[in-house]
Amino acid sequence: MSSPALSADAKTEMRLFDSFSPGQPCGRAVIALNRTFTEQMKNLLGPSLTDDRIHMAAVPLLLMRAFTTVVGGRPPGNLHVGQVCELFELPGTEAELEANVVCLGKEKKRDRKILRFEISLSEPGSGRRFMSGVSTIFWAA
Amino acid sequence: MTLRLSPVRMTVTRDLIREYAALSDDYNPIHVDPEYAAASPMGGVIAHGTLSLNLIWHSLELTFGSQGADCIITEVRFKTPVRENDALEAGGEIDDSGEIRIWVRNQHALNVIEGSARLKGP
Repeated sequence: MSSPALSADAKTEMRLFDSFSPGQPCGRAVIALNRTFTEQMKNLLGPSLTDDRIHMAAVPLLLMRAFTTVVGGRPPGNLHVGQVCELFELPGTEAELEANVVCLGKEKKRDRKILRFEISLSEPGSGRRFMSGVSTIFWAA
Repeated sequence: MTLRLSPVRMTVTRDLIREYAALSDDYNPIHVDPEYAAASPMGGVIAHGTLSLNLIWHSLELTFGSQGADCIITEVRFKTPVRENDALEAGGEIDDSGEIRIWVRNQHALNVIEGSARLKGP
């Protein structure tokens, strides 16, 4: 399956809970969308009302793609427990998106290790915002 | 008067979960490795949470249109794991105050996702 072209500074080492600090940037990456990726999204998520912009149903998917591109080395068994998604503008089907991820917070509750990340997607250079989100994840290691 | 969002339905298959793993580049074995998932606290493969969340966004698009839906925010919790072959329906209700309660339900009428959405001004 073809994926968006990536020029990422993605990490491959295992990221442990203790390695994250609130307020600390996790990294950035540029994701180049293409028609193949757009068509795969439509096949998976259903028909869109637009042909020239990304399917609105793909907003959570793009935020997760941004997160996985920037934050590599995620331990197996992570559980995604909460998500905020905010849409400012749908990007074009062949847009370049700059992904930035910041660790917003961390806490331990009983045996749970909980991390919150802010994810944003914007136009490289101009900083024009497309979407942002906050993911809450039970981190497994 | 309560208005309802246009419902969106999906049956979650193993193939669909694998396609979503490829698109999101999230190959957490809890989603794609039946043996690992069976031995985990989840007791079997579960779908990615955002796979179900995408259905809500599709419902919002069908209800408000792709233009009118710019500047929208959703906040949800993933309440119940989604399993292979679960039949999901996403929807929501808009009350008089403009608050939109959103959910995704499975074939047992359990909310697998619940939360809220709101439209923002330009």
